Amino acid sequence: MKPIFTGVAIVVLLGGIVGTQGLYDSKKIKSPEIDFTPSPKLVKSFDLGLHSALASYLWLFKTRTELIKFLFLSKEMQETAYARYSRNLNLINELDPKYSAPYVFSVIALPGSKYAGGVQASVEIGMRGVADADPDWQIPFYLAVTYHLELKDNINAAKYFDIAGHTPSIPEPARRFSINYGIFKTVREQTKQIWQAIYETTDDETMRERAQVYVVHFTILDYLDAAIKKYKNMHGRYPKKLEDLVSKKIIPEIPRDPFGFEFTIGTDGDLRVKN
Amino acid sequence: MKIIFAIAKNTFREAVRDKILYAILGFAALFILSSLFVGQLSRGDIVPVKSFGLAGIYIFGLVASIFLGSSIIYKEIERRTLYFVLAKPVSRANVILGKFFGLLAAVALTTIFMAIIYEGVIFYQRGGFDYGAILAVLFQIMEESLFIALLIFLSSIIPPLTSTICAVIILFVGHLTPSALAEAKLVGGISHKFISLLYYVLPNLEKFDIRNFVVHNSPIPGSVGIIAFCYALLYTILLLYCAILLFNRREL
Amino acid sequence: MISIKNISKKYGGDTVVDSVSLDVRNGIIFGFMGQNGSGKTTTMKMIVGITRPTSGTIEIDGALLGDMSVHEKIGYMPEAPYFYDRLTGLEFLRFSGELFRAGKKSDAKYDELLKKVGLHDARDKAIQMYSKGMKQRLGFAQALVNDPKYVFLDEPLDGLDPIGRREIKEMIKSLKASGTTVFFNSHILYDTEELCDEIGIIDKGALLYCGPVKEFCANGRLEEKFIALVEKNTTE
Repeated sequence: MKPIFTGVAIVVLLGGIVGTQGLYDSKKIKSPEIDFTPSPKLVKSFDLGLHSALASYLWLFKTRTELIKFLFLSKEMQETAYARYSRNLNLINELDPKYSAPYVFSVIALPGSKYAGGVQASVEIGMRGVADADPDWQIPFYLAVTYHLELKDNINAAKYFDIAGHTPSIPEPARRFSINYGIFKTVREQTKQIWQAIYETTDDETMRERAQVYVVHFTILDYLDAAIKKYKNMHGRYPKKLEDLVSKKIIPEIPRDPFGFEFTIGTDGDLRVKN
Repeated sequence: MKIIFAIAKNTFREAVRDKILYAILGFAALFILSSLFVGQLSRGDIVPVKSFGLAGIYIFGLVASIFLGSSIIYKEIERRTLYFVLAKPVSRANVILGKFFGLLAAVALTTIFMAIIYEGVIFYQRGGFDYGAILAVLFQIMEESLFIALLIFLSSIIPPLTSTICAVIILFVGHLTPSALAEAKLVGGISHKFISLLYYVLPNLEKFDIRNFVVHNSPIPGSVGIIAFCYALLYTILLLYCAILLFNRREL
Repeated sequence: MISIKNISKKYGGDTVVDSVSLDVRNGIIFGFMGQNGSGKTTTMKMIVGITRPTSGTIEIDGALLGDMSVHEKIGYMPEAPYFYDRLTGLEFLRFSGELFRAGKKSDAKYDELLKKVGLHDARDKAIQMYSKGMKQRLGFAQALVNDPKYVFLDEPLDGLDPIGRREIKEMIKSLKASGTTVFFNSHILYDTEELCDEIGIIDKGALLYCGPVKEFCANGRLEEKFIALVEKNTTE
């Protein structure tokens, strides 16, 4: 009789506890998010010297998630959210300037965000990273990518690709590209190679998909260009439109561009994007 | 001396058989092993794994020092086990030194044990061992010896709970004074002088922290080892000497 | 010979021991008696060198306390002893032995000593597991670890059952037989009367009597005489 009573009593109490917790959860009582980043000096004073561990913790468990969420915010919200992210990133960098992951992630992700100052921020963070962090090929590499793609600044791009190329532990495809940057004849060739290198070396799924799309896009452009040239050789003049390439049986069909662009051919045989 | 060794051996035995030590080691092992999870989270970046592992060894080493240190000394005085010992040809200095070495041995052993778990984690994660960490652990043991001497010194004048709290405060201050001094320099004046005084007199523990170098595989400046060792040695001797003086005057 | 001259102990304004002088010849059993709080334990702590007298001198075998060689010759059993709980009885005795210049004895000797106090079976058990009586016996054993010439026991029969008391009393007698001087504190007067050759009576820090027990008792019981003396001291 008695053990049953004890058992029931315990079950009922546990049930009550779980139920009360559920009730609390359902009310969605959330304490307001604290938008407070303590100053690096303050934090450093009280962390018993464990700067590197604290920096790693803050990055992996808080600020990295914050950045990922940031990328999904609407443009207006990103303006204010960036200030906060920047402060938190700064704290981590002050605690452990050599910790490379925060710089890498920021440099890769920020240019792709809707935030207006994303490119500038990425460059600024990238340059800090190159100066302070442990040698990590990704920082100068993606900094150079940003210079090339967004700022069309080939000179700085070349500088940082060079640094990346000479950083130890850079994977071979990226290294090959970095050393050879500037050798490719056209900007398109250059850009295609960049995305190829990114595709082969990044372990970030979103980045990988993006790179693949670009590579396909550029490959299609090259393919169409080669077809246009062949047409010229065969018929003495450039085709007027892409359909001509198909009707004259030079290519079986017009490939679909992954970005959804449609192309036209200019007077001198140049491939152009239809507006 | 033989007598100091006998007391040290006895203290070590008492400490090592304390169940609280096993609890601390258990938590430490869990913490260090959880840095494997950190390795997953960081996608193979070894820096956070090393940071967490070494931080764990540090924190739990200090926790072990505090728990063992304050309980051992309290028990001696409050529970009169000292009476047996002092009726024998054992000076009060022998007692202090014996307790110190016994405690240090126990804490050092705990630290080394945690370091072994850490190296296991690193080996699993990376396939090699972190030799820099061995140096970091040696520096930590130097810091622990200073800290234990501090605990012994404090417990010869104030009761155990208060001395534990004091020791923890001094521990934080020991890491705080370098940055406080930098700030005070800007302000100048009396506060600068005051903070400078604290800076030089209170134990300055930053010098034993080479973790940030080890985690990033940076070369460690050459003279740091010798300086840290001398500082630990001198400060420990000072604390133990004062502890002996105070203990000699204590009524039992 | 134990020679105590005018020792006093003051804690702040309180005088716990007031100018006590006594001499104890070698080879006798000396009983030091008094009410609780009379200063017995403090006096004994001063004699064995744990507490420093505020004034006065103590000489054992002609050497002043402070000389470590004195400690080589004495054994001390504190009142209601506490121990290192996680050691075994044997480990504790070994540790006690190691504190002497002569160093550790062989385990056989310790076994013998443990047998004498009736703890041989429990020698490998942690002291945590010992009953009060067992701890008392262990305290007694560690006092004898160095074959001392002088043994100081503070309430040795406290907490023992009747058989235990008899055993310890027999051991005290055999200590005397082998030439050891035994000085013990007690407030159990019945045993004191049986064991002691000479006694000292202390009350409120002052020594009221010191001399042969037979003389003190004359033609009465020790207990009555003691109570009379103490009450007389209280009214004065």
